[in-house]
Amino acid sequence: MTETALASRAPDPLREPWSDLSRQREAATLGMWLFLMSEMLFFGALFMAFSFSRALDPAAFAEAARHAEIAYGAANTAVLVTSSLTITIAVRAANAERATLATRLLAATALLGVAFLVIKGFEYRDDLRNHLFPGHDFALGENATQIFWAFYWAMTGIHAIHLTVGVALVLRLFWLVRGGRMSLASPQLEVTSLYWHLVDAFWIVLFPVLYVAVRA
Amino acid sequence: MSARNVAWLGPTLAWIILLCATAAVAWLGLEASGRLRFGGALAIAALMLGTLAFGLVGVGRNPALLRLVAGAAFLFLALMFFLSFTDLMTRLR
Repeated sequence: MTETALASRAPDPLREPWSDLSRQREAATLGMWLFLMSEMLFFGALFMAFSFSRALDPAAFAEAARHAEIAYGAANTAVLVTSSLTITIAVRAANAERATLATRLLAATALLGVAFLVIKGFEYRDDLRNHLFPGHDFALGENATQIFWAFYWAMTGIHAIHLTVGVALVLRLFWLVRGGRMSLASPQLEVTSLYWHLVDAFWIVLFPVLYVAVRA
Repeated sequence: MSARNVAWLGPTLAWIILLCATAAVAWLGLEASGRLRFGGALAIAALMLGTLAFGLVGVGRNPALLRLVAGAAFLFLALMFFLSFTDLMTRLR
Protein backbone atom coordinates (compact mmCIF):
# COMPACT_ATOMS: atom_id res chain seq x y z
CA MET A 1 0.00 0.00 0.00
CA THR A 2 1.35 3.45 -0.89
CA GLU A 3 2.13 6.08 1.74
CA THR A 4 -0.62 8.36 0.38
CA ALA A 5 -3.18 5.55 0.54
CA LEU A 6 -2.18 4.76 4.11
CA ALA A 7 -2.49 8.40 5.12
CA SER A 8 -5.90 8.86 3.46
CA ARG A 9 -7.36 5.72 5.12
CA ALA A 10 -6.39 6.77 8.64
CA PRO A 11 -9.11 8.19 10.93
CA ASP A 12 -9.02 11.82 12.02
CA PRO A 13 -6.60 12.07 14.99
CA LEU A 14 -8.50 14.99 16.57
CA ARG A 15 -10.35 13.97 19.76
CA GLU A 16 -12.88 15.64 22.04
CA PRO A 17 -12.67 18.16 23.72
CA TRP A 18 -9.96 19.77 21.59
CA SER A 19 -10.78 21.98 18.65
CA ASP A 20 -7.36 21.73 16.97
CA LEU A 21 -4.59 19.19 16.79
CA SER A 22 -1.79 21.41 18.09
CA ARG A 23 -3.68 22.03 21.38
CA GLN A 24 -4.41 18.31 21.64
CA ARG A 25 -0.73 17.50 21.10
CA GLU A 26 0.33 20.04 23.72
CA ALA A 27 -2.11 18.61 26.29
CA ALA A 28 -1.07 15.00 25.58
CA THR A 29 2.61 15.89 25.87
CA LEU A 30 2.05 17.77 29.12
CA GLY A 31 0.13 14.79 30.53
CA MET A 32 3.00 12.48 29.59
CA TRP A 33 5.57 14.83 31.15
CA LEU A 34 3.57 14.81 34.41
CA PHE A 35 3.56 11.01 34.33
CA LEU A 36 7.30 10.99 33.60
CA MET A 37 7.84 13.34 36.53
CA SER A 38 6.16 10.83 38.88
CA GLU A 39 8.34 8.08 37.39
CA MET A 40 11.47 10.18 37.89
CA LEU A 41 10.57 10.58 41.55
CA PHE A 42 9.93 6.83 41.87
CA PHE A 43 13.28 5.86 40.34
CA GLY A 44 14.93 8.77 42.17
CA ALA A 45 13.80 7.28 45.49
CA LEU A 46 15.34 3.93 44.48
CA PHE A 47 18.64 5.60 43.56
CA MET A 48 18.57 7.56 46.80
CA ALA A 49 18.00 4.40 48.87
CA PHE A 50 20.85 2.73 46.96
CA SER A 51 23.20 5.68 47.59
CA PHE A 52 22.21 5.76 51.27
CA SER A 53 22.94 2.03 51.72
CA ARG A 54 26.21 2.36 49.83
CA ALA A 55 27.30 5.24 52.09
CA LEU A 56 26.79 3.00 55.14
CA ASP A 57 29.10 0.24 53.80
CA PRO A 58 31.06 1.31 50.69
CA ALA A 59 33.55 -1.58 50.93
CA ALA A 60 30.86 -4.28 50.77
CA PHE A 61 29.13 -2.52 47.86
CA ALA A 62 32.46 -2.28 46.01
CA GLU A 63 33.06 -6.00 46.47
CA ALA A 64 29.49 -6.87 45.42
CA ALA A 65 29.57 -4.64 42.31
CA ARG A 66 32.76 -6.38 41.13
CA HIS A 67 30.58 -9.36 40.19
CA ALA A 68 28.29 -7.34 37.88
CA GLU A 69 29.17 -8.06 34.22
CA ILE A 70 30.18 -4.79 32.52
CA ALA A 71 30.07 -6.38 29.04
CA TYR A 72 26.35 -7.14 29.36
CA GLY A 73 25.62 -3.67 30.74
CA ALA A 74 27.59 -1.92 27.99
CA ALA A 75 25.99 -4.01 25.23
CA ASN A 76 22.53 -3.22 26.58
CA THR A 77 23.34 0.50 26.82
CA ALA A 78 24.43 0.52 23.17
CA VAL A 79 21.23 -1.30 22.16
CA LEU A 80 19.00 1.08 24.11
CA VAL A 81 20.59 4.34 22.90
CA THR A 82 20.28 3.02 19.34
CA SER A 83 16.57 2.39 19.96
CA SER A 84 16.24 5.99 21.16
CA LEU A 85 17.71 7.12 17.83
CA THR A 86 15.32 4.95 15.82
CA ILE A 87 12.21 6.15 17.68
CA THR A 88 13.32 9.80 17.40
CA ILE A 89 13.70 9.49 13.63
CA ALA A 90 10.43 7.50 13.45
CA VAL A 91 8.57 10.46 14.98
CA ARG A 92 10.31 12.86 12.58
CA ALA A 93 9.44 10.58 9.66
CA ALA A 94 5.80 10.58 10.79
CA ASN A 95 5.83 14.38 11.00
CA ALA A 96 7.17 14.42 7.42
CA GLU A 97 4.36 12.01 6.40
CA ARG A 98 6.82 9.23 5.54
CA ALA A 99 4.63 6.32 6.67
CA THR A 100 6.86 3.52 5.36
CA LEU A 101 10.01 4.90 6.98
CA ALA A 102 8.12 5.54 10.23
CA THR A 103 6.75 1.98 10.42
CA ARG A 104 10.15 0.45 9.66
CA LEU A 105 11.79 2.52 12.36
CA LEU A 106 9.04 1.65 14.85
CA ALA A 107 9.63 -2.04 14.08
CA ALA A 108 13.40 -1.52 14.56
CA THR A 109 12.74 0.17 17.90
CA ALA A 110 10.60 -2.72 19.14
CA LEU A 111 13.21 -5.25 17.94
CA LEU A 112 15.97 -3.39 19.77
CA GLY A 113 13.81 -3.38 22.91
CA VAL A 114 13.37 -7.15 22.59
CA ALA A 115 17.15 -7.51 22.01
CA PHE A 116 17.76 -5.64 25.27
CA LEU A 117 15.44 -8.02 27.14
CA VAL A 118 17.12 -11.08 25.59
CA ILE A 119 20.60 -9.84 26.59
CA LYS A 120 19.24 -9.06 30.07
CA GLY A 121 17.85 -12.61 30.21
CA PHE A 122 21.31 -14.06 29.47
CA GLU A 123 22.79 -11.81 32.15
CA TYR A 124 20.18 -12.90 34.71
CA ARG A 125 20.89 -16.55 33.82
CA ASP A 126 24.62 -16.04 34.51
CA ASP A 127 23.87 -14.19 37.75
CA LEU A 128 21.64 -17.03 38.95
CA ARG A 129 24.28 -19.62 38.00
CA ASN A 130 26.80 -17.63 40.07
CA HIS A 131 24.37 -17.57 43.05
CA LEU A 132 24.07 -13.80 43.02
CA PHE A 133 20.42 -13.73 44.05
CA PRO A 134 19.99 -12.71 47.72
CA GLY A 135 18.95 -15.66 49.87
CA HIS A 136 20.25 -18.73 51.66
CA ASP A 137 22.71 -19.85 48.93
CA PHE A 138 24.01 -16.36 48.09
CA ALA A 139 27.63 -16.58 46.90
CA LEU A 140 29.15 -13.55 48.64
CA GLY A 141 29.84 -13.38 52.36
CA GLU A 142 28.78 -10.09 53.88
CA ASN A 143 25.17 -9.04 54.45
CA ALA A 144 25.73 -5.65 52.77
CA THR A 145 26.72 -7.41 49.52
CA GLN A 146 23.25 -8.97 49.55
CA ILE A 147 21.77 -5.49 49.85
CA PHE A 148 23.65 -4.41 46.72
CA TRP A 149 22.31 -7.41 44.80
CA ALA A 150 18.81 -6.85 46.15
CA PHE A 151 18.99 -3.33 44.67
CA TYR A 152 20.44 -4.75 41.44
CA TRP A 153 17.55 -7.20 40.96
CA ALA A 154 14.89 -4.69 42.01
CA MET A 155 16.14 -1.79 39.88
CA THR A 156 16.97 -3.77 36.74
CA GLY A 157 13.75 -5.80 37.13
CA ILE A 158 11.57 -2.69 37.41
CA HIS A 159 13.41 -1.22 34.42
CA ALA A 160 12.79 -4.41 32.40
CA ILE A 161 9.05 -4.23 33.22
CA HIS A 162 8.98 -0.62 32.01
CA LEU A 163 10.79 -1.62 28.83
CA THR A 164 8.37 -4.48 28.20
CA VAL A 165 5.49 -2.00 28.44
CA GLY A 166 7.39 0.27 26.02
CA VAL A 167 7.86 -2.56 23.50
CA ALA A 168 4.12 -3.33 23.66
CA LEU A 169 3.26 0.35 23.08
CA VAL A 170 5.65 0.66 20.13
CA LEU A 171 4.34 -2.58 18.57
CA ARG A 172 0.80 -1.23 18.94
CA LEU A 173 1.81 1.97 17.09
CA PHE A 174 3.54 -0.11 14.41
CA TRP A 175 0.38 -2.18 13.92
CA LEU A 176 -1.88 0.90 13.80
CA VAL A 177 0.31 2.95 11.42
CA ARG A 178 1.10 0.00 9.15
CA GLY A 179 -2.59 -0.85 8.74
CA GLY A 180 -3.53 2.78 8.15
CA ARG A 181 -5.63 2.74 11.36
CA MET A 182 -3.87 5.75 12.85
CA SER A 183 -2.96 9.09 11.36
CA LEU A 184 0.73 10.00 11.30
CA ALA A 185 -0.31 13.33 12.82
CA SER A 186 -1.57 11.60 15.99
CA PRO A 187 0.14 12.80 19.21
CA GLN A 188 0.39 9.13 20.30
CA LEU A 189 3.67 8.75 18.41
CA GLU A 190 5.33 11.64 20.22
CA VAL A 191 3.95 10.65 23.62
CA THR A 192 5.13 7.03 23.23
CA SER A 193 8.58 8.22 22.17
CA LEU A 194 8.78 10.33 25.35
CA TYR A 195 8.04 7.23 27.44
CA TRP A 196 10.69 5.27 25.52
CA HIS A 197 13.30 7.98 26.13
CA LEU A 198 12.49 7.91 29.85
CA VAL A 199 13.14 4.15 29.98
CA ASP A 200 16.42 4.79 28.14
CA ALA A 201 17.34 7.60 30.56
CA PHE A 202 16.89 5.31 33.58
CA TRP A 203 19.21 2.73 32.07
CA ILE A 204 21.77 5.43 31.23
CA VAL A 205 21.97 6.12 34.98
CA LEU A 206 21.65 2.48 36.08
CA PHE A 207 24.58 1.25 34.00
CA PRO A 208 27.28 3.60 35.38
CA VAL A 209 25.93 3.45 38.94
CA LEU A 210 25.36 -0.31 39.35
CA TYR A 211 28.12 -1.69 37.12
CA VAL A 212 30.93 0.86 37.33
CA ALA A 213 30.86 3.66 39.92
CA VAL A 214 30.69 1.61 43.12
CA ARG A 215 32.92 -1.21 41.82
CA ALA A 216 36.04 -2.24 43.76
CA MET B 1 14.08 21.79 2.74
CA SER B 2 11.08 19.77 1.56
CA ALA B 3 8.37 18.92 4.11
CA ARG B 4 9.01 15.22 3.41
CA ASN B 5 12.67 15.43 4.34
CA VAL B 6 13.54 13.87 7.69
CA ALA B 7 16.10 15.74 9.82
CA TRP B 8 18.32 12.90 11.04
CA LEU B 9 21.74 14.56 11.38
CA GLY B 10 21.26 16.01 14.89
CA PRO B 11 19.88 12.79 16.43
CA THR B 12 22.61 10.75 14.72
CA LEU B 13 25.33 12.98 16.18
CA ALA B 14 23.72 12.61 19.63
CA TRP B 15 23.65 8.83 19.14
CA ILE B 16 27.38 8.76 18.26
CA ILE B 17 28.16 10.78 21.40
CA LEU B 18 26.06 8.34 23.46
CA LEU B 19 27.88 5.32 22.02
CA CYS B 20 31.30 6.90 22.72
CA ALA B 21 30.17 7.73 26.26
CA THR B 22 29.03 4.12 26.76
CA ALA B 23 32.46 2.90 25.67
CA ALA B 24 34.09 5.41 28.04
CA VAL B 25 32.01 4.18 30.99
CA ALA B 26 32.90 0.56 30.18
CA TRP B 27 36.59 1.51 29.97
CA LEU B 28 36.38 3.25 33.36
CA GLY B 29 34.83 0.11 34.84
CA LEU B 30 37.56 -2.15 33.49
CA GLU B 31 40.68 0.02 33.67
CA ALA B 32 40.27 2.95 36.06
CA SER B 33 40.12 2.83 39.83
CA GLY B 34 39.02 4.75 42.92
CA ARG B 35 37.80 8.31 42.57
CA LEU B 36 38.42 8.48 38.82
CA ARG B 37 36.08 5.54 38.28
CA PHE B 38 33.41 6.85 40.66
CA GLY B 39 33.49 10.50 39.59
CA GLY B 40 34.14 9.73 35.94
CA ALA B 41 31.24 7.29 35.64
CA LEU B 42 28.79 9.71 37.25
CA ALA B 43 30.05 12.66 35.17
CA ILE B 44 29.67 10.65 31.95
CA ALA B 45 26.17 9.54 33.06
CA ALA B 46 25.25 13.23 33.47
CA LEU B 47 26.68 14.00 30.01
CA MET B 48 24.69 11.11 28.53
CA LEU B 49 21.47 12.31 30.16
CA GLY B 50 22.04 15.82 28.77
CA THR B 51 22.78 14.44 25.30
CA LEU B 52 19.64 12.29 25.40
CA ALA B 53 17.48 15.16 26.68
CA PHE B 54 18.66 17.80 24.24
CA GLY B 55 19.85 15.70 21.27
CA LEU B 56 17.10 13.08 21.05
CA VAL B 57 14.14 14.16 23.21
CA GLY B 58 14.50 17.79 22.13
CA VAL B 59 13.76 19.29 25.56
CA GLY B 60 15.05 22.67 24.37
CA ARG B 61 12.32 22.83 21.69
CA ASN B 62 9.49 22.15 24.16
CA PRO B 63 7.16 24.92 25.42
CA ALA B 64 8.13 26.70 28.65
CA LEU B 65 5.43 24.87 30.64
CA LEU B 66 6.94 21.48 29.83
CA ARG B 67 10.43 22.67 30.71
CA LEU B 68 8.99 23.89 34.02
CA VAL B 69 7.53 20.43 34.77
CA ALA B 70 10.84 18.72 33.96
CA GLY B 71 12.75 21.28 36.02
CA ALA B 72 10.37 20.77 38.98
CA ALA B 73 11.00 17.01 38.86
CA PHE B 74 14.77 17.58 39.03
CA LEU B 75 14.32 20.10 41.86
CA PHE B 76 12.24 17.62 43.91
CA LEU B 77 14.82 14.90 43.27
CA ALA B 78 17.62 17.19 44.40
CA LEU B 79 15.67 18.07 47.56
CA MET B 80 15.07 14.39 48.30
CA PHE B 81 18.78 13.58 47.95
CA PHE B 82 19.81 16.64 49.97
CA LEU B 83 17.46 15.87 52.88
CA SER B 84 18.33 12.17 52.94
CA PHE B 85 22.06 12.75 52.97
CA THR B 86 21.74 15.50 55.56
CA ASP B 87 20.08 12.87 57.74
CA LEU B 88 22.87 10.39 56.96
CA MET B 89 25.58 12.93 57.87
CA THR B 90 24.00 13.55 61.27
CA ARG B 91 23.92 9.79 61.94
CA LEU B 92 27.55 9.23 60.92
CA ARG B 93 28.78 12.02 63.18
